[in-house]
Amino acid sequence: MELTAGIGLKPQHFADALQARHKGLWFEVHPENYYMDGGPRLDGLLEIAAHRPVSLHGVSLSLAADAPPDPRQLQRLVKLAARVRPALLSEHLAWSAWRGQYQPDLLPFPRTDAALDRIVDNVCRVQDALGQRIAIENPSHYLPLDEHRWDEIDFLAALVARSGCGLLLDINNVQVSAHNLGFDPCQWLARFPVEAIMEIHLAGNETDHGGSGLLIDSHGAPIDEAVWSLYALLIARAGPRPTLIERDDDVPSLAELLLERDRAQRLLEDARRQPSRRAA
Amino acid sequence: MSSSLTTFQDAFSAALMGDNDALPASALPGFAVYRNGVMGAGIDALADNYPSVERLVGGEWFRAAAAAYVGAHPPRDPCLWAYGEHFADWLRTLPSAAGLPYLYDVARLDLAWMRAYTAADAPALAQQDLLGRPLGHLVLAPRPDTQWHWASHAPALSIWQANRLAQPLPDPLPWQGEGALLQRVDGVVRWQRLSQGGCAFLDACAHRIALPEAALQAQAVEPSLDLSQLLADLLTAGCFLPLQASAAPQRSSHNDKVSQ
Repeated sequence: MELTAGIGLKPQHFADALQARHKGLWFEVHPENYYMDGGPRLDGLLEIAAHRPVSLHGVSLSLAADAPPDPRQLQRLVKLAARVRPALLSEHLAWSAWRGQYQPDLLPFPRTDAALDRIVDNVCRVQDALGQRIAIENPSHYLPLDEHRWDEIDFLAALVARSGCGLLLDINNVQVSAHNLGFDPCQWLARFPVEAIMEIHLAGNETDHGGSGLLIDSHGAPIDEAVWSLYALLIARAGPRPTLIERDDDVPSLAELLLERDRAQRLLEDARRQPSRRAA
Repeated sequence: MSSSLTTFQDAFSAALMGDNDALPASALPGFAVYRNGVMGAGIDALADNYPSVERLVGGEWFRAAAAAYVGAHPPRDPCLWAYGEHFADWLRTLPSAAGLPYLYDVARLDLAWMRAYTAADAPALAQQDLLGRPLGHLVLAPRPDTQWHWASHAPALSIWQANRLAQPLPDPLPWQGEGALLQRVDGVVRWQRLSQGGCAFLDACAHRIALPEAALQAQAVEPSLDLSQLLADLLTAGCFLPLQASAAPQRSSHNDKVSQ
């Protein structure tokens, strides 16, 4: 089945998800939430996967750490993937595990030659273990790092070229990073290597409650109109790509998420009818 | 390791732990987003995994205690649904929790709930499987979802259940020890009372102690225990793995290789 617009799936939505009749609907989960030995949560995911395409979107392989992925975590992913048979597999351009500790966040790194070498090697290890191409997601940025030696778009393109991976373009992350670091999201997206896009993420953001003025990639609010606008521009150029509605906090009913999903679906259908403007 | 990346990650990790000199960028507002994100995820995971403790002590006290726990025992595994394995023991060491001597037991019951909820599926030993078998060397292995806890000094099951289900405490509440048996039945974690002897019996079984010695250990803590009734109740509840998996040591040579 061709993937169109999907939804990040939460266990409280399993029953409604099985009932949904939307054509082309697919779901995505964080695999780490399903690494248990058994029980209703794992059973629920496997039941969904028997009826709908499922994408596994990892948060813990720590590909930008200066170390190979933890073999135990990689093995857990391989084992779950063998049961779910995911339509897509993705991870983040970030690190979280370091020297035996797991920092439950997606942490930044300096874009250097050494980092690129390490990340290319890590992505290749993951793809070899899974026997499948994976998509790597652009991060949200909150910090300007003096140590960067690579432009972000050039870094992503080099990662694709050297590892053979695809990209997961999170447009909310672009919006958040552009606001926080002070760049133009349209110009950034205009340079994005759209031919490598395997998946697009759309999510909501919030202004930092702490008064810093930063935008936070909270996944706790409806998708911002600015993100919808960037999305429409992007798929007009790139053509339709599997698109996911992400919501991890203040999660509403599946019906409410399906409204956002249907909006993305309509934009994808529009993009399908229009010839791509990429060549123009 | 490529040293520039290693150096950065060491510095970033130190800054996350509060060393403000480790990373110049840690002075920027954006660094607080990561620091808050890491801490918040740990605290939220503990709140998810210990809902009865949180309800019992209140959100403010819980989040302060959880933050201290995250600092002392940061996550080591991305499966945050299992984070906080030592939270009950750690709560027991908190001077500010000294007035709640049952807090440890309530936390242990939340932990037992999560373990029952996420355990592997397994078949159960039926009562008739024991018919005609010599019981003298029998080792009964608890199923993975079978969890139990004995609280000697407080009605911990009653307190835990009231908080887990957001119900009022029983009134009157007899102040005596209580034990609990938790299991997953058709995908739902269920619980019932289990006596001190019953808990001691399952403790012995989990240590692969053969039936006669397990029975002695159970009777040592509860002299009035009706062992036949206990065994029948535990078998009816489906607490044990089938014998081919739980293994009777004297009956076949490969039993030593069967691990639980």
